[in-house]
Amino acid sequence: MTDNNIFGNTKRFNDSIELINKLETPKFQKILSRVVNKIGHKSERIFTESEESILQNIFKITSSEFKGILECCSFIFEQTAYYSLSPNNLVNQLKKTMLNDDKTSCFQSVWEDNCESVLNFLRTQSIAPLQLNEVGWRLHYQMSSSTAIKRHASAIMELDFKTDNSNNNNNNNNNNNNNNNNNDKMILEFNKEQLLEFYNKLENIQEKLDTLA
Amino acid sequence: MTERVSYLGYNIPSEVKNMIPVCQKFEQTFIRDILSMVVLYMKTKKINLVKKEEEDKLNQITDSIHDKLTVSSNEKKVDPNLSSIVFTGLYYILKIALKKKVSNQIFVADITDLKLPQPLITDLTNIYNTQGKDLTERSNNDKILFPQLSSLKWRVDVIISSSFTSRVLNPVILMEMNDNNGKSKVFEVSIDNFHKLRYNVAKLLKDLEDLEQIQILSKLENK
Repeated sequence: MTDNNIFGNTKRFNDSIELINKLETPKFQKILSRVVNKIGHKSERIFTESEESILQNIFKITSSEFKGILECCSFIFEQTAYYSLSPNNLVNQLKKTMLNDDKTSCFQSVWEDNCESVLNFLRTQSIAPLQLNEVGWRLHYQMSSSTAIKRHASAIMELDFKTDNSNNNNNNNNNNNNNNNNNDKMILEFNKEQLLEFYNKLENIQEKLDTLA
Repeated sequence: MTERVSYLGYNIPSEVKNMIPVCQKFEQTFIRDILSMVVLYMKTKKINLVKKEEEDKLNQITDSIHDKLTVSSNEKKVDPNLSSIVFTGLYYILKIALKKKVSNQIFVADITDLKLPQPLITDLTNIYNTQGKDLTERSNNDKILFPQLSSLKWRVDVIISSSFTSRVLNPVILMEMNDNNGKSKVFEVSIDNFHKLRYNVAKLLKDLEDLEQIQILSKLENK
């Protein structure tokens, strides 16, 4: 009886499965498609508060039961995504739980429609605290100045970064007001030789990437 | 022979004008001291004071110049304000000459026109001849700039699996950039963004080279 159930056999999971079994199938399918679109997006609400209360009234369940159901569905999808199961494998796994067959086929059809996009999204998720977001640049030709005498060309680049906010929210709430402008961008100036050097470094990186492919 | 306007301009700057009568009254050795202080100041003053030590050094030198001026003025029973006027005037004479890159002959000619005492004229021309190149080079390097990239370190990683999904196999790049001001950033660049970056740098480089082809700019250079 020890089959490898990727969903585990905890009481909470099994209770939520029982609740799911009691729901009506077509409405359940719509909930599922919403849930599947949201996996991987941390801290985004699946349903707004008003939608939640409407759904709770329709299904005649309490809010804690509803949350349990949503969490259970998200969990099923997250595990499916982690193991990259095909829809058929998902059905096999779900058969090992106590889920009804009609609900299982709901899961199967929703996963069939969405698995490509979900997996692609998850593969590009990164946990780095800082990521390059945008690149902007200007080319200047300095005609004259109060200090230097020679004219020269200069290139100014601005690199914008995206921070990973969900982890930093607690630590940085105090620092945010002071550091907001400092953390998110970097401004660099280059003359011709420096720009050429930078370009050559980027070419090196590209070479290495080509050997990978 | 057409009359040439002095390099100081058609209207001689008031700082220089005010200095001339004062110079006649001062002793030569004193003026020579002031002149050496002017040169010292010109060598250390920069707009682009990046490091703290440079800033401290400049402050030190300005303070010592100020002290020396007041002390020497008191010794010789001269008003310290007058010595400051001489300092400013000499500074201007040298600064404008360097900025306009006047030749030595023009420099000598215009200084003599100012009717300064002869020893001072010889001192000034000596300094202009010997130190001129050094000072010009310094002010050429003293540019107002945004921070510049001092180092770029990178590595290419291939993500095998992650907590989101167990089979990823995507390459990703990690970079560390340090700039002149000491700011350091470690960040990740996805492949798409890396291509964006590379394209932008290449385009920028091409535009820079196109700039050099523009005829009028090279004519300006030669002027």
